[in-house]
Parts: sequence; structure tokens; C-alpha cells
Amino acid sequence: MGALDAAELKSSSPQRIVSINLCTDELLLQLVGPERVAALTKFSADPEVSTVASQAKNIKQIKGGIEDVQACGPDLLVGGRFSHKETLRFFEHSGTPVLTFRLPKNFEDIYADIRKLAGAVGETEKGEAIIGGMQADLAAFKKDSPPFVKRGILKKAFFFQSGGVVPGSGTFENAIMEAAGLENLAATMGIRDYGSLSLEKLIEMKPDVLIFSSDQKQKPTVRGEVLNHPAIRKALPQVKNVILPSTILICGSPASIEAVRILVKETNP
Amino acid sequence: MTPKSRSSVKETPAWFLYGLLGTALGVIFLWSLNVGPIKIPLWNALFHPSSDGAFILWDIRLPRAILGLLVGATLGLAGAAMQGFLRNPLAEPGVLGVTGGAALGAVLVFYTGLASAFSLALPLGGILGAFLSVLLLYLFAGRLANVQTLILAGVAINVIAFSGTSLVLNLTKDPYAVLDIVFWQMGSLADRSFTHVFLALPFILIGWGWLFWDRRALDALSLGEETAASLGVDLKALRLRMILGTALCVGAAVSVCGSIGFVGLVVPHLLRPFVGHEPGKLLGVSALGGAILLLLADIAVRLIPSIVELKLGVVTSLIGAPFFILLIFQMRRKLL
Repeated sequence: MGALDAAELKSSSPQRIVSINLCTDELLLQLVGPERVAALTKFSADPEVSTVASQAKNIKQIKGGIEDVQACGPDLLVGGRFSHKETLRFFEHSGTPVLTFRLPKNFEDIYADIRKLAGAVGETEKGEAIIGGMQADLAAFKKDSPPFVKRGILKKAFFFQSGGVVPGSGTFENAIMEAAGLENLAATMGIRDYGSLSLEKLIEMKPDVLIFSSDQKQKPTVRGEVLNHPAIRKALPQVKNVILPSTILICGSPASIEAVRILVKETNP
Repeated sequence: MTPKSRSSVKETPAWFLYGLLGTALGVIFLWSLNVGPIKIPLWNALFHPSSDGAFILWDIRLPRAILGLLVGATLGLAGAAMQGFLRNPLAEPGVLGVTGGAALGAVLVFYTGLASAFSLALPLGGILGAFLSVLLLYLFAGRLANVQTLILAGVAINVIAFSGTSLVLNLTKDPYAVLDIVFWQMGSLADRSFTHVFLALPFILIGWGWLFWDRRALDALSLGEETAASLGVDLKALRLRMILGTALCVGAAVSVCGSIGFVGLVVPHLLRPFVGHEPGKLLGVSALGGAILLLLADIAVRLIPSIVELKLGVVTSLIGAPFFILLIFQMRRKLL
């Protein structure tokens, strides 16, 4: 939380909002029109990383330094907790309303973030509508799940990230997998947050599904080639590979519902 | 080496030394196949070719052990050859920047996408990087370099390679890719496959061949360049073979395993007393010793309990750096 409490901002309606974090860029454009946004990050219009690239195209883009932001004359500054700390602190002390957001760990966190930002920009109803839509989507995925999920037999999955890293319990990836009716084997193994997974352990755990993000599979990465290791092909010939677009994985946002939708569709043919 | 110091050392018979090191290597190789995050009964794996154990043994652990052997032998051999050729006990591919240059070459090939266009680009990139580093080294330090010049040249090349790699990190947009490069640079044999073995093997073998070719010339060279020339050593050809041989085997090794330092420094030093300080004889035993040391380090990496697997290059540096400092202390005593 920044210098001002969200409750104090509730009645106000800032017109020159500046965001210095890609995830707050995305959240902000879900809630307000481009005319109320003074500047976003330079990533916001990059279709390779941003889910709001087309809406952000005509908005000024900045790097997020103190002078950049000052030049925009913001009446509300939003950002992530960990990037451009100096800028956030500077504007907190100079009396500009500042809102900071943590990395969400589950869908409840996203709802809370949406409520917090919606309150600050005076769009409470729009925020609730977005949250309602997300909840309805998630409920629909649960209902559509085939009988084996209802019997409690979940498909076992790993979310295999670069360098053999797998997200365990307490991560947003875990929340996405659970929402799609999958068992996150890394969480089963007792990994909290992120841990590393050797190829041998992966084979021993016998996953039904391996999830990758698209840039791992498509772009050349040093360790990305582990994914094509012959041992995986031979020991797990039946395994289902699901590739999620990396843009919808970078931030926990309303777009994350799309990741759940793809997982449900791909794992329940 | 002066003739006096040579005669004062009692040489171990070559057959005994090779027999001992060879047996140790065989045992450690088998041990390496038996070590991993999950237990697989080796007999079961051998007799049930489509069990998980068999896949893990043949497709994960065997290429890992073979690569450990190849890379370790390469680093030990290249270290011994460089020390003999430069007549300098601190010469080593890692300290002198050859490993760093190879790593930069390989990283560049990866992030320009060349490696995915054709797979041979990877070892070629590593080899080219190593080649340029060795070339720079001999340009900077020359033939008659003293210890200080040589080490300074090594520092300079390491700095160039490091800034180059940092530049790639700096320009990479994708945070996963940044993580990849950083981890890769720490050096590891984890989760490699036979693809890597076959990519690197031909270059490594040719490099070894060139380095071994000159074992007698290196002995002659230890008596001084003029004496060597009068004994019929073609110094120009020797230098060329040394540069190419080192670049080929070190470049190919680094391009599949990342930077693994200090093996080439430690091993020749430990074994030198047993071969009567003759650089030519040191080559073969250093290759065996390097393979043993790297396989042992790779076993240690898997046995030491840690949440995230330790990186091989980190372990060899932790062993090698104190050794390096010790050597410098010894040399300082001699120099002053």
C-alpha cells in the first residue's frame, strides 16, 4: 500500500494515471479508458509480452525513472512492489497518491488487486463486473470437467520452466493448474514456491501432462532443449505436452483465465 | 626445469601410473552411473530394456558420465599442454580465458538462433571463441612471456569474454533466457543426452590428437626454444597445433557443458612429480587425472544434499581457487 489508503482514494477520480509495471499496465487498461492514462511502461505495447498491446499503442510509454514520471504530471502512480522502488518512494514522499501491488499467488489475490485499483480510480462497479466474470468462468470450467475430476482422480502435471525449475505450492502457476483440475506434482513432492526438478525425478513421477510456456518451446534457450530429451520421449510416450502463450503467464490478471481455459481444453479431449 | 631438479625426482613407472589411473577411472565411471536423485537397481536396468530404470541409465546417466570423462580429460590434457608449451605452471584454459572465450562463442550462437538452425553451430561457436582467445593470448603474451605478463593477458581475455557475455545478458529481453545463460555459465553435466556427446566428440578427439602429437616436442621445449629448434622441432608448426588443438577440444567441451574451471590447473600439478617433470609424459596422465577429478566432482554435486543441485563449475572452482592461491604463494617465494 502506498502513501494513501485505497479507501481515501475511493471517491476520487484520477485523470492522469501513470503505471510503471507491466502487470499494473494490464490491470489499469481493464478498468479505465486510455484517455485517463498518462503513461504506461515501454513493455505495454509489445505484443510479445503484453496482453493489452493494441489498447496501449497510442499511450505514451516511459521507462519508469523519477524524471520520466514527473514529466507526466501524474495524479495517481501505480506499480509493482519490486520494480522502480526509488520512483515509488520519491512520489510517496512528494504527496502523489501511489499504489503498489504484490505478485498474486492465487485468484483471490487477483480479485483483491482488481478491487484495490478499481477503488482508487473510482471504477468499483467495473471491477466487480470483471471479478464476477472471472469467477463465472472458473466455475464453468469446474462444471465442464469430465467425470474423473469429480471422482477426485486428477491428471498429474508438471509446469516445466526454464532450467528445470518447477513451480510448487503457493505459486500462481499452481493456482492455474488447480483451477484447470490438474494435480501439480511439484506441490505433491513438497516443493513450495519454486524448486528444481531433475529429469530422473520427472520420469519417476510419471506425469500425464507437461506444461510449457511458449517462448521456452519456440525460442532457442540453452536449457530449453532439455524438453526434447530422448529419455522423456522414451519413458513417457503418452505424456501430453501443453504449450501456454507466455504473454498470459507473465502477470496474474483477468487474462490468466485464458491459461486455465487452454489447460482444460487440451487435457480433456 | 633444470636437469638437477629432474634427476632428483624418482619417476614412477609409466605402466604402473597408467594402470592405477585407468583402474580408478573405470571404477569412478561405474560409480557415476550409479549416482542420481532416484535409486535404480543397475541389474534391473540392464535386463529390462524398456523400464524407467533403463531409460534413466542409458539416456540420462550414461551420456552424463561419458561427457564427464571427455570434458575432464580435455581440461586436464589442455592444462598440461598449455603449461608445457608456455613453460608456465599457472597456464590453464580457465585462468587464461580460453574457457571464457568458448562460453561467449557458444552463448552468442544460442541467442542469435544459429544453434537452432543447425546443431553443429554450437560446438563451432565454442571452438571459434576458444580459438580467438588462444590467439589473443599468444599475441598478448608472446612466446617468452613471464608469469606476470601471461596472467595479465589471461585477465584481459577473461574480462573481454565476461563483458561480451554481460552484453548478451543485457540485450536479452526474455528473463528466462537471462537465467538460462547465467546457469549455463556455471557449468553442468546435468540432463545432457547423447546428442551432446556426438556433437562434441569428433572435435574433442581431433583436438586431443593434435595436442598428443607434440608430446616429444614439449619435452625438447622444456630445455629452451633454441635447444628445441636445434633438436629439429618446428616451433611455428608446434605453436599452430597447440592453438588449434586447445581451441578444438576446449571449445567443443565448453559448448556442451558450460564453463568448468581449474581442472586443467590442479590435475597437472598433482601428477607432475610422478612423471619426473617431463611435460610430454604429463599429457596422458593429466587426461586420465582430469577425467577422474571431473567425474568425482560430478558425483559430489549429486551426493551433496541441497535444494537446488549444485553446479559442477561452481564445485571445481571452489576446489581450484584455493589451489591457485597456494601456487601463487609458492611462485612469489621463487620470484622474490
